[in-house]
Amino acid sequence: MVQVSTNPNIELLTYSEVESVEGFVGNFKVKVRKKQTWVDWTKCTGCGECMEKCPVKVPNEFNAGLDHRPAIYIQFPQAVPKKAVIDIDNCINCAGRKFGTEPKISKRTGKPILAPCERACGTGAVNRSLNLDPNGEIVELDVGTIVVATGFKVMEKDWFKEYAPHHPDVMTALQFERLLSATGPTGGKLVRPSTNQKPKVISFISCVGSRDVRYHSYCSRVCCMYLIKQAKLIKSKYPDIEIYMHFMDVRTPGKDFDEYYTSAIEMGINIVRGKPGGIEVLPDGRLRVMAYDAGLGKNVEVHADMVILATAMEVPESAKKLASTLSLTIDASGFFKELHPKLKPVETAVEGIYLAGCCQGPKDIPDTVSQAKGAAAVAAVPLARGKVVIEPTISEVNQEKCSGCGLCVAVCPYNAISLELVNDRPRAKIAPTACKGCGVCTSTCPSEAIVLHGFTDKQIEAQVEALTMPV
Amino acid sequence: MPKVGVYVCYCGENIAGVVDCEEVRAFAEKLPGVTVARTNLFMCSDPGQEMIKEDIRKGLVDRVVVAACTPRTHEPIFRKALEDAGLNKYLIEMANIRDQDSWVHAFDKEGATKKAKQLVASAVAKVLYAEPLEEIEVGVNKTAMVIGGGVAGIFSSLELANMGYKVYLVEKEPSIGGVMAQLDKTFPTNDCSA
Repeated sequence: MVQVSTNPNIELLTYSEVESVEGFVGNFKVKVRKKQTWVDWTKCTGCGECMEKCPVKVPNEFNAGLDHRPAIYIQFPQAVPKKAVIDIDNCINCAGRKFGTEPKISKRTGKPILAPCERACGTGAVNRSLNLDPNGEIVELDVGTIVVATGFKVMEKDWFKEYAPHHPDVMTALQFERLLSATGPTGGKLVRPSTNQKPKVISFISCVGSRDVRYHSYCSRVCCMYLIKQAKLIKSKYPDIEIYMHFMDVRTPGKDFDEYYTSAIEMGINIVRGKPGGIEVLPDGRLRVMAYDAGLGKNVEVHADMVILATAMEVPESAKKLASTLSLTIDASGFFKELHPKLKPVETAVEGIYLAGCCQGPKDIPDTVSQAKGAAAVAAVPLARGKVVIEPTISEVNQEKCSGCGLCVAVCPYNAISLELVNDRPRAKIAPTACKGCGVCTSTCPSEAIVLHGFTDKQIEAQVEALTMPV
Repeated sequence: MPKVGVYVCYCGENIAGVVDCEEVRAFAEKLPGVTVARTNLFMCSDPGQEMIKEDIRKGLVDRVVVAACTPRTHEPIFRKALEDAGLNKYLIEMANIRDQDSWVHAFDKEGATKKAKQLVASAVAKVLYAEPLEEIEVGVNKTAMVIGGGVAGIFSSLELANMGYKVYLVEKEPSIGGVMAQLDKTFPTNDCSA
């Protein structure tokens, strides 16, 4: 992460979103919205003083909702860049200090009454007198190629009513990850959220939402391994904790992965084959996991202090919106579709736009890094060549025949057609670099003035005739 | 009158296991405009391509129909063969008798063979009216954009930047890192993720 911020060739645009993309490979015009941070990042030093003083408490996304963060916040301790933003939807405008208003003057001291975040900031990065645009700023960037790496999100536990999702000791694996982390809500101390006591028995359940026709038919590919990882981390630190892992089957198809799994068994971690049917909360607050053990061939029960659910990886809503902005196609599982599953795994149907990581499908870090480096290599090809070749199978207007009616302008899905004045009369003109050769204009033109090279009317008529002949 | 060469590919068993390629070849030979019709076990192999080039160089053929697999993966290969033999590379049509025929009609050999003939006849009819086309070359802005600053976006950006290209890395959250930054330790090496 730090390498990114120190690389002179990388310009970071965080807290920013792509608004629109126009153009074609080699010559994309991208509008990026830099969202309003409400904090002057040229002055913010990332000291975090403002966070201490802000009275607001909202669920902390970084800790998967296990604790709270203020409305002015730095996303996490190792953030790059380490800068604060104000979550303006949750800001309560202390001291009546909305942005763009002058501070009230204290009758007692005669001094302006500042909001706590302003008072805490030693560099003047927070200044609520400024009339900042809530929509932020739009920047226009010219780029040759684009790599899409928008990632995934994990399903919330609320979907799984059978697993007592309301219970604080039932958590998603991502929440548990935060609980184990030194930068997490407990500083890495393993405790049951309901009692703050160390758990004695922990159950892990895999395939929650994955390989389940009610939610996602696909395998999320990383859950078996990260559950084993979490179990091993606990077992090595607290050998007395009993661990039960419920798997439909264990999938370890990576380098050194099966050895990793085998060593977990050797550590005394119990593997149970079968997906639990449900969880009941016992009177003492513990959790009764009702499962099936295919090894024993019978139903089993585990009374656990905590249950960890490996909820599925899925595509976030924001990625779906981006797909339509970039004209990317989506496959049946919701992930971005590559051009060919084997031979063009990072290319998309849009030339010049490539995929990396989990936006293309669930995968682990080794595979993600491989694909990311692959995508970088493929995205560099047009940049290295310095030129792109445009297929000549595109449409062209015969301006002698064109009546200037403009119907083609209206139907073109790529905004490739415009009207120009030829001898004072409007005539259609197609920009070869924008035309994708779809042929909509050709079939719309009432004057037969547009030819689609490689698919002329004559050619298509000849094909139809040939197809209808008896063989 | 253009001279069309038709090249029917067996694709090992992929096509020939269903379609009677020799029957298709014999049918193609009689189509108007066709001067040569040949088969090969793998038309995309060197000997297969050489066969096409040889016919072009000898002047037997100035339009090409390859009845084989998908143009998505293989048209560039055959276009290159035309170009190497001195013919405009847009004077080719592919009849997809694999994906659109042998693969989907695996249990109807007779019907598949009939469909292959129709697809070949259609491609021949089209290529007769093909005109030479020239590609257009446009300059490139030597800058890349990476959307998303998780582990995938970070590594793509670093590689592109290390190759010497300017990279804009766009991330919707205040910090890069993505889900990876939330992970404590990562399998199989149990090292930290930051």
